[in-house]
Amino acid sequence: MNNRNDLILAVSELIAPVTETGFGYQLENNEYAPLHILKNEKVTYPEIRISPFIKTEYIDKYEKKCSNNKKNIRKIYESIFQIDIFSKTSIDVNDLYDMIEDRIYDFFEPEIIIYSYTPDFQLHQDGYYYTDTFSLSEERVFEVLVENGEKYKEKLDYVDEISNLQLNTWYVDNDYFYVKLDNIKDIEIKTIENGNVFDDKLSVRSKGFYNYGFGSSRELSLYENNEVDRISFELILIYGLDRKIKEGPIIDEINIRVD
Amino acid sequence: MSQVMEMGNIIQISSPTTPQYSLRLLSEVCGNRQIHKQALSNSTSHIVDRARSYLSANGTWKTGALADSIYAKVTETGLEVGADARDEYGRHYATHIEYGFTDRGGNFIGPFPFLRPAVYDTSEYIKNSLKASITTAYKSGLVLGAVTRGGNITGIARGSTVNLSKNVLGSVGSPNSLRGTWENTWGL
Repeated sequence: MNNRNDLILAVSELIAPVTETGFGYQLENNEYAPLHILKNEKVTYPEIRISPFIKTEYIDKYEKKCSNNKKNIRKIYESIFQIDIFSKTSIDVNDLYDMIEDRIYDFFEPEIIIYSYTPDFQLHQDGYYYTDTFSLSEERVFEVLVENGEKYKEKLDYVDEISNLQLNTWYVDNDYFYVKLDNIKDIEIKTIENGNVFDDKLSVRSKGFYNYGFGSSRELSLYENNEVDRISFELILIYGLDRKIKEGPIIDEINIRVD
Repeated sequence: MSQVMEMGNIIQISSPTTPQYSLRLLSEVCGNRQIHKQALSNSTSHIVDRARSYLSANGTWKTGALADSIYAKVTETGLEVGADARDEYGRHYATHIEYGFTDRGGNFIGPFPFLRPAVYDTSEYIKNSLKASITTAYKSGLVLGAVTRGGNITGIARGSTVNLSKNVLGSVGSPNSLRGTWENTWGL
């Protein structure tokens, strides 16, 4: 995450799943509870509303390696978001509260399984490898790493279309997991068993979140229309924002001319 | 068992210097309600000022009635912060500002928090204030009361405190025996 808008978007996804119209939950009674951020907007019931940055506190900063020759400064903050749930029935309000709580737990406390190379990979004529072992219907892959001869393993990029698959990228759909790299035997695949990742396949840690906490929830129905139930609670997040810098050219060879 | 031995001009307290004793002494001082109250009452004006500054910053300051009604008081269980302004019909409205509300037209008016940020801001101040109060208590006679209650040194005069507490406290927490060198002061 590079700025506060990225953060608000990430928190929205943290709270509610991505749907066709934005973020929201499909309830059991076929009603849809959308997530709203804007203030002074017409309320539709049921709905979830985020009031960002009730309080933000700068904590610390450190340097983070972002390429071979560049370092980025990551600043750490603690922010408090107020989350409000509105509905005309108390059942929906409580259901939504439980769903949000479960979803946040899934993000922050997942069970991760790490696989190494399996012989199931087949080489496609377009030059990529594919296997049905790690398809979306079977497993939830969120990180693919490869040995690169250095101390740390190189992380491969995720692409959102199979047509965009290039060297050192991966893609997954309901049938197969696809990856394009030089030596398939060096692969390492991380999957989530009980948990959740963001839509761009980033875990909360990769996204930049460090920790979370729930404030106490309050029943604020008293301050609303008599027919409306409202639960309000605070979500406390510790996260890092990266300063966006351009990557410089990688210098492989330096010629020193002595006249 | 605590033992106080007189060795000529030097008083040696043998067992009370164990870590458990030091912790007990510390907890007695830290748990002293009077010290807590003192630390909290030092923070009340600070917290009210912060809340007022948040109110003026978020643009909700119109008549000043809400700002004037902000209070912070020390209770038996801790610190209570609130605002009890009422509208023309006698209804409280601080909560509506703090948490947001839905108006009669069905629009959600977002929260303009002023009490919560003030409390978050002041928490560090209260912590430091409590720390300072405990330190002051250590340096003053309050700590002697704790030593006296827990450490069986009631025989030593309680009235004159400064030198004794300074010497005793200089060694509390040390695994070795306490050695007070206050013979000149106390004429022992």
